[in-house]
Amino acid sequence: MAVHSHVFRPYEGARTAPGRRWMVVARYAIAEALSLKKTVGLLVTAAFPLLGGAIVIYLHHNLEAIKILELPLKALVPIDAKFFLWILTAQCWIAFLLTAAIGARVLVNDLRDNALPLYLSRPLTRVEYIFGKAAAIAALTSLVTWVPSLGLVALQASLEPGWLVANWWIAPAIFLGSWAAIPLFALVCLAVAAVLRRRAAAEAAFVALFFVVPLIARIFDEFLHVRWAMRFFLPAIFESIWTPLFRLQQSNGLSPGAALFSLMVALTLASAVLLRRVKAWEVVR
Amino acid sequence: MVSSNPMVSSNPIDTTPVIALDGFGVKLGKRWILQELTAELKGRAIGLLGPNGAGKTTLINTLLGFHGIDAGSARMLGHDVASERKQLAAQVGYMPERDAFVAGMTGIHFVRLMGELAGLPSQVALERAHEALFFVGLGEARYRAVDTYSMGMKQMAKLAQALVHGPRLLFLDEPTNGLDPGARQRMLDLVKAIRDRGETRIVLSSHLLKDVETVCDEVVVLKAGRIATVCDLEAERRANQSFLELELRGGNGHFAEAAAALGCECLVHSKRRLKLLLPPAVQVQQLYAIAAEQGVQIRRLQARRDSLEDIFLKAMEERDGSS
Repeated sequence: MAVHSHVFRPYEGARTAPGRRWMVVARYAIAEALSLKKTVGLLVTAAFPLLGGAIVIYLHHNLEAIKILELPLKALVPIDAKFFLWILTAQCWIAFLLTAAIGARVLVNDLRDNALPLYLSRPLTRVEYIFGKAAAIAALTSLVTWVPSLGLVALQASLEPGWLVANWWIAPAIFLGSWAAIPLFALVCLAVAAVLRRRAAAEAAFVALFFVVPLIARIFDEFLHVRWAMRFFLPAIFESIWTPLFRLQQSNGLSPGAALFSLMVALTLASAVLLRRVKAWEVVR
Repeated sequence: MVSSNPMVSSNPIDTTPVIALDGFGVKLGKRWILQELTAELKGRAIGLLGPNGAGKTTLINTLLGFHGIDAGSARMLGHDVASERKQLAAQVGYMPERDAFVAGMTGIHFVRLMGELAGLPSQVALERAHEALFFVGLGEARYRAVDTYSMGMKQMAKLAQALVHGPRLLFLDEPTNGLDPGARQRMLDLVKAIRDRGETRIVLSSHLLKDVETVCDEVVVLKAGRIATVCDLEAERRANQSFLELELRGGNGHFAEAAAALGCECLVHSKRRLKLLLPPAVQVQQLYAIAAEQGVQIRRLQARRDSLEDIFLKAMEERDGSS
């Protein structure tokens, strides 16, 4: 390294592929998120339901332990689609909190300190920049949703030969179910951050959005005698999407089609807001 | 911190215009910010001058791809700005006017990130980030968070991120803003060092005529979104190099005639003061020889030329007259 000579020299060496620059954005955003204590705290918290799930699976296949504990475990907690749906639901709530904790931060720091002209003067488009940031959130939330849940499926499959064949749809259901939530969390959180440009406000607004909007919709329901509120209520949307995937009976009255429509509308709106707000320069008209 | 070694390029002179504008226009909202810009700029360091609101920053932003082009076309380093943005972006460095950094990042991380985004492999980006920060004089502060830097240090960090990837074209938007005289001089020295290396062309936008005059060899003066004048400062300097003011003592008053006999044009003269326009063949030493012959003391000899301020004010007046 020629730092001692203190001279400027051009660069003639190899360059990375232009289509991979979003990965740089994602990598640095992940590093930034992992430097936060609350991220580590939430990742540790996410391990508890999984650990519980792993213990239940282990006990199911350990007759001696069941005898000692005298628990009717097989009857109380069967290892089936419902069990994995419960795990996924718990993990998705943690993913929601994790997104709230890190999502705003990875964008607001760039917006607040005017870093976007620096990013976008490089061979990086706005879409790639947003994609990189969303990918960082998606990578971290994947660590607490489908990745460990599939680990539990693998554990169960290894302890009970034939179980995976009989329940083959559970693994894809976990994967697809997680990916219904992950992009929604990531894009909505980034959109809120892009609008508010203040970290604390964006974090609070992201959490509030998923509870205040259904509340407002519920008030409309009461006055207009319609049933729209469910279309804005996150747990209901996910339940309507997840239950058919896990081949379970749906109970909330919101059809999977309507839930998917709500999801697509939310994703489209969030993307539109991001594309409008994430710019190198804001033109004052 | 800049090496004192002269870094003159051995590269052959590139005749491709750094920036070529052809009927170029930009509209923001319903208002034309830039109109009918046509110019071919080939200088090693191009100065962008103009009063506030003239469109300097908009021109830079549009060339960087931040705004769309609404009329005409623009090429940089031979590439079309509108259709070849990614190829261009890899070859361009940009130091914005406003504070721009990523809060919470150390100087080295910040510059490395910008290097990687420009396409440097991770390890190379780290090496060059160290080099760039040492080059701008932030070597000792490179592990400090950028948001704790002073104003001057932030300016230097912005310069480091702009050149970490060894760009062929460097846009500097008001690089000496907010700098004390010492830091300003250091910034200009750095820019000159990059220019003298010869492999990086510079576009410098500034309100400070002195900065542009020090660094640039070509100047574009913008006024109300149009080009008021394009001036090859280097040619101006060469053209006016022979323009001399002399203050004389003694002699028999025939110095002017003797100078005229050499081929000099005597523009103003009194017994003690002369203003001469030297033809290219005549050297200043010959004037000293005549003075010695005639027993004249040359008390003061000053090569004068139109200052950039003269050129700028003239361009502003002409534009006022034509508009």
